[in-house]
Amino acid sequence: MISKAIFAPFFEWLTTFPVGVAIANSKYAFAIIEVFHLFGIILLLGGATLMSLRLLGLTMREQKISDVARSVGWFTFAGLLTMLVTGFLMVSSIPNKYYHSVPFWWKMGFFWTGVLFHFTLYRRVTRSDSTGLFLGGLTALLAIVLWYGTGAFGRAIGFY
Amino acid sequence: MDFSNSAYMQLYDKINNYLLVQCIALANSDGGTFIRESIWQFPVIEGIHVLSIAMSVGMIMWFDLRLMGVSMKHRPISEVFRGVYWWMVGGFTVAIISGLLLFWAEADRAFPNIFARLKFMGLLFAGLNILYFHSVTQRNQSEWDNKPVPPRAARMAGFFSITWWVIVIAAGRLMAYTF
Repeated sequence: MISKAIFAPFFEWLTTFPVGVAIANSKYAFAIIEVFHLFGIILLLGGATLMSLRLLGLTMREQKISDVARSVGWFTFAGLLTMLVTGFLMVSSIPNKYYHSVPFWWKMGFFWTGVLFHFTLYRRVTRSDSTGLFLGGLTALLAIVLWYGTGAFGRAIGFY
Repeated sequence: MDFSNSAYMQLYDKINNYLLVQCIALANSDGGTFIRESIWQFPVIEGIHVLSIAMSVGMIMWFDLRLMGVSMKHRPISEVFRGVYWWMVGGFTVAIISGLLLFWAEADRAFPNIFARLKFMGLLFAGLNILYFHSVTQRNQSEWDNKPVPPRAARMAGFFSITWWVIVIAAGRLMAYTF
């Protein structure tokens, strides 16, 4: 188990990051960045949900898995990138709050596992049309759990 | 011109005050208080609301992008619609139910809030956009169902749909900052 203490120097540095300080001092910046963070997660969840449903054979069976992947791939990636950039900016504006937030670390666990999964198993399975239902189904369930989990823990940061 | 004392403004104030009183009573009812003052109910319902919106908008987005001629260009529009329809309806149903429960708990604060009103306006226009698309634009869909880039009216329907949903989501999130 990785202790969050190893990230302490990074969070310490973030408190002096000029962009983060500017966001903290602005009345509207954080709210606007958070709205774009939400757009990012919707793009990501939209892509991951459609792809997962296709892998499970629950929708768009007329299309090959690799064709659906090609159609949604760039949007999903754009969502991931938007989440990453806006998420970093949000954390940089109040690093102490995030460092001490339990749901934040759960979100980070789900998010970074999701990123790793996205560029390995998910990419391999969605680019192939010969994957069996078991591996396809497992990939779909992992995508749903990891990305919806990221969203749920993200929302929980505001409450706990 | 000063409309502040016009008959229209007086009527607006009257309706506004009446609805505000109803919303205060709703929020202070046993059900509203139960949701609002709980440790788990409110955050869980709010979490379900956000994720179900993400699911429904994330699904309708593919149909809108297809209408705009941006994504899945070489598949029939009706096929893309069939592929996302029930998932979108399912997500939207959960979003409406969870949204009503949240409104029940915070009706007194939501009703006068500018972003809440913007969100409801966005929902109304998104609904009108769907209605117009189904009753007018879609009438000759067989002529452009297979076209990679459909006619302007269909492309506009997709564009406006995404625009209204962007407004609904942005206003919904900004509500929380102004409560």
